[in-house]
Amino acid sequence: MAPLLEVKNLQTQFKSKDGVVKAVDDVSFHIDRGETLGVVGESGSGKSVTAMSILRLVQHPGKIVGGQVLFEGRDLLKLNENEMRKVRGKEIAMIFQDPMTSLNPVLTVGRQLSEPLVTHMGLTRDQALKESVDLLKMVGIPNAAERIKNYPHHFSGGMRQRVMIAMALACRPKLVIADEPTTALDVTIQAQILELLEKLQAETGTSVMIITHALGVVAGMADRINVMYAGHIVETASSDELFENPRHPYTMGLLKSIPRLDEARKGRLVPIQGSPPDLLDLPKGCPFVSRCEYAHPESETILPQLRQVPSVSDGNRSEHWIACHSEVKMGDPPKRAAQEVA
Amino acid sequence: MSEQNLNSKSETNVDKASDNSGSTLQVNHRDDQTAESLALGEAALTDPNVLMSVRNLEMHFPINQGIIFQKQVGAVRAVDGISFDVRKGETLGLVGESGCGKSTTGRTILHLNKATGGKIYFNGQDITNIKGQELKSVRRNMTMIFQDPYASLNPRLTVQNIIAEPMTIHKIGTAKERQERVQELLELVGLSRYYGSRYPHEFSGGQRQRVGIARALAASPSFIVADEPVSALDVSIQAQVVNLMEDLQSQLNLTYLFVAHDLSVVRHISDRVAVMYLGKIVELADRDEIYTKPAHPYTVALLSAVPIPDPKAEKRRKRIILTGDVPSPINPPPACRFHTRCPLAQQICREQEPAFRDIGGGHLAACHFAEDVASGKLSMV
Repeated sequence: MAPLLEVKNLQTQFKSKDGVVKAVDDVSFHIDRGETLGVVGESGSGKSVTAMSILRLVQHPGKIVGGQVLFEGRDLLKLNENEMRKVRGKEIAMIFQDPMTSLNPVLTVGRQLSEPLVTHMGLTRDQALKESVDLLKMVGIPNAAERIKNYPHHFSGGMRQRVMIAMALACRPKLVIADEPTTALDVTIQAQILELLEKLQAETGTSVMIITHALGVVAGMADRINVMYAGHIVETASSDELFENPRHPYTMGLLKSIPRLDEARKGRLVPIQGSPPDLLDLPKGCPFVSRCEYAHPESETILPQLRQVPSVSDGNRSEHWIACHSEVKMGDPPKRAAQEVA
Repeated sequence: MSEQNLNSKSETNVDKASDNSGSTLQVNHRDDQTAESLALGEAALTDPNVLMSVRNLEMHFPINQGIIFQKQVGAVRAVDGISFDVRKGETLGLVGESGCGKSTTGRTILHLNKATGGKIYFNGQDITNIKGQELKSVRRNMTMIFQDPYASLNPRLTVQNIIAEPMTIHKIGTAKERQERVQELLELVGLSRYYGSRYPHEFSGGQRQRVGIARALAASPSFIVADEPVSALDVSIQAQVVNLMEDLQSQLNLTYLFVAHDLSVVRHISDRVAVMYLGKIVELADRDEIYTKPAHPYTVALLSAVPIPDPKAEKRRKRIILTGDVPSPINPPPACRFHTRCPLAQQICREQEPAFRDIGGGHLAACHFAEDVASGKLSMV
């Protein structure tokens, strides 16, 4: 069966007076029905811009300059603004990072929850309000019938994120994009929200694309994971495979550099040297080359393309792709010291 | 101090009474006198191994009403009676969720807020109420590393002037000596010694944090409060800064109070860890002890909520989902503050505040059932 969403060679660029920032550069991936795709990367890696590009919410000076976003076979980039509006919220919904700023402070929560129901589902205001109560109950907000009359500032951060999730699920979308849904929340509230997302996904069967910088958040939730760096997908594999058998030096570096809560201290952390590259001045070859311990001679000049490697954890049933010239595994001795860029 | 002892003594008596009344859950008896003196007594204040001591520290921010005739109508009890020691050369991790008072604790110790109650001792000297020149001379020995490397460096000053500022304030060395010292410091934190003439905007986040660390070290302090020093940094940069802080600690014999919400980083860097909830320290123990044998239900829940970057370990774990939100510090729940969210809460938890007591080997916890939680006899799942 064709995947629910297929992104092909997506390119999104931002023009600035200093040059063109290729925020998303030739990115291709897909999401199957009912699947959870994790997208991991640091700030500036292009993970949020990818999400915004799917929904065509990239704002000036940003522009989608190439590629296709096929949703159930339809290219979203070719739709007119009116048709696109019918996709947003109805077919694909989004949960934003900051529940404090993404709700309208002067409208009651009930009014905001009803809005997509009235526009997309053709309900009357009264029907929509009734449905809103059910939605609030579904996301675990107590006393929902009273709470729909409240304004966003009456809710705590965790509760607001629940309202956001209720809003996203209001029209039973086929795909929910959650952009750092728990980053602004405390860890015990994060656990509540992640559990809620998993539960609702199991009930509704919707696909989820969850974007985060924290590897831990996606480890337990995602079926597959894309790792992004400087506008490119550098590795993609099933969640089990990625953590057990990472093959891109950047992924390996990330896993080595974070201390684990469930393990006693093993000595110093092993950081990735240097800092993320300047997106205005990317190297000609691999964007990770200056920080890489395993850089191949070709890495300096040739941008590596995604290529398939054997998937070890599940006997090659799932696909594992990396964008790297080198053949290295976790634990291999470094080929060279990364250039010390302090 | 005496007030706290009195409180805990009276609590012990009530505990015993409730035992006699046939409660099915055993409340563990304890000798508060020994526990207090062992861990937090006056003895610690003269202990040469203790650098910083805090006793019953309170920081209440007043809430005022009225335009002309203002009157206080309440207080945000950000820090509400906490006691702990920081030993020389150690890193004490202070963790908790937003609003628990961990940053306020760090700021109050450094006199960035004026404590509304309790005592602060530095090197055995009571520094709670010192002012002026005396405060200035104490402050030379203690500084802070801030969370946000973008907001904590003055954009109009060169890195040279930023790092030299503490030396200027404390009148250390001549201009020439200060310049040399800045170059030394830049190298010490892993930057080029020639970066002094640059401005903050020319640096990345990780580099700025290094500048902030160099500034903190300029006046050669012995005690540093690091308030979320890595949480604003990218994942790949965090490890660099954590390693740098550890290297500096061993080279310069520094003592850290490491305030953070990331429990994985805290486990890595700290010798001992204190957990705060709603203005109180609920548990304090050696780092591996607190992670393997947590004795307070809040610590157990907090640890179980942290996602681990390993799908297999994630599937094995049982997550304890706390219901509800953190109550308001303006009007915290009576008795045990955690009882509104605690899955183990009993009647006693709603009636009496548990003492912060030693449950063995310097492991301090403020829970009526701490021993049973630590041994696993009382399961949270």
